[in-house]
Amino acid sequence: MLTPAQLTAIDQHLRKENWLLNEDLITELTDHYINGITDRLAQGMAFDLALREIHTGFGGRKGLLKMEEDYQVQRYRKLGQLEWQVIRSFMNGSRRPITTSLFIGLYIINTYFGAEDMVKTGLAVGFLFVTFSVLISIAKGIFVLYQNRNEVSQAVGQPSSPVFITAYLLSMSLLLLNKYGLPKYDLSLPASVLLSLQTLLETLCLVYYAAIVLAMRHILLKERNQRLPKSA
Amino acid sequence: MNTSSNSSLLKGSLSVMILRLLEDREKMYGYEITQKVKDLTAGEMTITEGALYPALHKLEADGLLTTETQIVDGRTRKYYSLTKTGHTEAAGRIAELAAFLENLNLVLKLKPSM
Repeated sequence: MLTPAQLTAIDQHLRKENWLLNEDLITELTDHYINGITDRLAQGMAFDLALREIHTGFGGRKGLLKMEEDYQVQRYRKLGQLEWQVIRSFMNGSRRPITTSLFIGLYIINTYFGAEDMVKTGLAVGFLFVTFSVLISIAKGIFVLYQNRNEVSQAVGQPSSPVFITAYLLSMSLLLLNKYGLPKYDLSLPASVLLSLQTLLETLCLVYYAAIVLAMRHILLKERNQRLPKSA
Repeated sequence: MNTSSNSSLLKGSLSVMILRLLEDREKMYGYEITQKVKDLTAGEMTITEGALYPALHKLEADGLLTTETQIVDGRTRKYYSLTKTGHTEAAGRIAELAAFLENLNLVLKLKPSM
């Protein structure tokens, strides 16, 4: 059992001497340091030497800081995976009825309340954000697929929703074609088709926002539960 | 075993070792994994902390591991366990590594041609 002074020394070692900030990582590493030092003290090693030995195992300050940086990256990746998991549930899972209701609701607002321009303006930035995110997701998917080309299964592949991406890119492409391509040949898509495509894009945009909110909520709730751990 | 060659050989198989250990035990924490490997190999193989934790965090982000925390001796301990996907992936990766080692062994045991 370590003394309070030794426990404080470990905490200061991680926070002050090695500049770690992430509380979850500090908690995990504190447990590791305590276990490692306790075992070494039992073998007759001095506290300072035991601390230094474990510190070396982590690759020194440089190793610890790199670990914290990687930890944040992995956390961000996890959030991204969760987002797409929620999107899949909206597109072809348990939440599909919500997506259908959202589409019908927006179609009614656009058609009968004449609020098409208002909705379009309201989601203008959203369109850019979602389009950017979809393109990034495709690029990431190709990159991860290439990186893991020798993996046994695709469990580590970048998750996404083919239904969402296909629907989004298709409707966006048709609207762009109608705006910039077809007028050159004096052609245009029927107004009802355009309205449906516009409503579909708006629906997908809202689904994407909902997925971000739900994924963040899930992670925050999990983190809160982990800070209130159960006794062994 | 030489430590530097040990760590370079370990690099590619560390995640498989973690998956295999967690397949055997329901849940484990970081320090426990390092000690288990040390015990199993009679101290011949050691996993450095600098390699173990990034591997655990990556496997967790990949959705192969899940975590839970418990209070042990008055402090928080983070336990790792396999997810459903992790169980499937573990079986595949272990089989792949075993096949690779078998082939490697064939090459290493090559008798000099007369």
